[in-house]
Amino acid sequence: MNLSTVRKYTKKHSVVAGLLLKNPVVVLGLDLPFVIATSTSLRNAAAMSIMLLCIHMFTLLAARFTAGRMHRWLRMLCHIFVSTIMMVLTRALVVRMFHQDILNSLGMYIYLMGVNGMTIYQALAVKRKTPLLQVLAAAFQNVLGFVLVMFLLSFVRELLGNGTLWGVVIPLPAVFPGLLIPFSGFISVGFLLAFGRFLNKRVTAFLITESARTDLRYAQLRGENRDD
Amino acid sequence: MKIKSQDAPHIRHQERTISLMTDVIITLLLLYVMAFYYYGVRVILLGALSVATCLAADVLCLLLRRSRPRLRDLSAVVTGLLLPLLMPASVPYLVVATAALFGIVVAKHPFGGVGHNVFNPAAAGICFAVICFGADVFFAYPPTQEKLPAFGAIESTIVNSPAFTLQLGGVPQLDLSDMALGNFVGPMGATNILVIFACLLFLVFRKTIRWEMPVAFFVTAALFAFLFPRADMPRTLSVCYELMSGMLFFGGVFLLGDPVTSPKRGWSKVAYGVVAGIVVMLFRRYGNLEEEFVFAILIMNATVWGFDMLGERLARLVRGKQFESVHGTKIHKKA
Repeated sequence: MNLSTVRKYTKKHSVVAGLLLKNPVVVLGLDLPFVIATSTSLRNAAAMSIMLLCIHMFTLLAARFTAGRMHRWLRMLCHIFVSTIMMVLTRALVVRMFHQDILNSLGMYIYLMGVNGMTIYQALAVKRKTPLLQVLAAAFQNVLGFVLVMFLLSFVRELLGNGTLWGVVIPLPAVFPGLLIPFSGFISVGFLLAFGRFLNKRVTAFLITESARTDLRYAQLRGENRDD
Repeated sequence: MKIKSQDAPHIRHQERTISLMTDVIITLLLLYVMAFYYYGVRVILLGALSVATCLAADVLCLLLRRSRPRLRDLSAVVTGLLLPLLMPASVPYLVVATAALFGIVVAKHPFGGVGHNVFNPAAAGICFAVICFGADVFFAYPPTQEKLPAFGAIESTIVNSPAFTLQLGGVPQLDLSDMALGNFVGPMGATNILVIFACLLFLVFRKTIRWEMPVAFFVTAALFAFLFPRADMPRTLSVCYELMSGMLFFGGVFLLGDPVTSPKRGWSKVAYGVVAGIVVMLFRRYGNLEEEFVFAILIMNATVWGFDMLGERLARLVRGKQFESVHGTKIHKKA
């Protein structure tokens, strides 16, 4: 099979992989509790996104320098230490940006962000030889993936569950407060996971068809050359 | 010997999905007739809207799953007919449509559709409606025999149901014969106790549902009510009020007896009925809402696999013992 087409599309997709096809939340299932429990308003989404951006970027940056220099378990402790310090700092930033109420709204999840699965998992996967820019780009992509899912769910849940958007009342014929409970978060994420799988299947099928077509094209060209 | 060559399945039974569903639909239509007698044409419109929403959502979900919609599958119609019967006749149309949509789109199809759903779609729909529109689903019962307008605002006196009185620790001042005839407020299809009892007999004789589970459920609930009355009243009266108020009787027949979301074997069914009875009564006793039957049912639905597994093991054990007694040797398991 001719893999040039697959390589071409894989290269193209790698730019946006963290957003859709390798979305850390939808495909890898990382940081699901944060999405399920806190995606009830756009304010929450913005606060959590800012926190994750700071924590994730700095922890992965630290991970790049500690990679290969200490034992795996020690590295993990080191990453947790860095991410917790970043959580404390960004918590203050978030409170300043959004008001003290955001602490009540986010509850314990604001503190759990210090040991979020996505950051720890990916910090441990960082290799010493990986270029720094590549590490940061991957980290940024992952955060973007989280932000996309978080804002998407928050938009739907706040609008339909509370009848507001960023606290502004939107006149709707009916609101469904049931969408604000964690159970609905599970269901929404479930539907999003299904959509992610559907998308992945579609892209894989497209790649297979495309490479088969390229194969056919090459075979035809070879045949024509032989005839000449 | 004459050997017939036929394709599988070789063991055939007259029961099919359509026949089971038709039986349930017949009984539910009977309850609609009673509700129509008590509340007027609004009941029919609620039922029609619910069925239409369920059917449309079902067809849409099947198309999304790339399956062919089957006209002979009447499960969506059953769900659609069940939903309004568990609500007051004054319930807004939007609430019914939302519950129907939730039941089909969230509780039925993501699990694989008819025959595979873990939770009863009607119970799930009601739960969502209670969470979203609690005040419209409970606490808002119009008096019986008051004909409600089909459209527009409903201006009628709101009456407390016996389930609500019991939840507050009071004793409902109702005649038991009135309760048996359905002449008291409550969910519009769940108050006609005698009719529901007749429906239960019909369904059991038609073998649409097995008798073990409803009997185990009602006996356990009655025993619980007898031993732990919620208010200061004679124990026998407590049993009557508990069984006839709210949606316990209706749910015990139509929601608990759903063949898809209940255990498959006889003993599992009995055990399931007993545990469901205890859970429902505990929910009623310690819950905050006047009627928590549907929530208890959803929790029980999630445990069906456990009852099935235990039932299967028990059946294997019994078969093994029978084999031993006949042949005198043990069955050796394959490595």
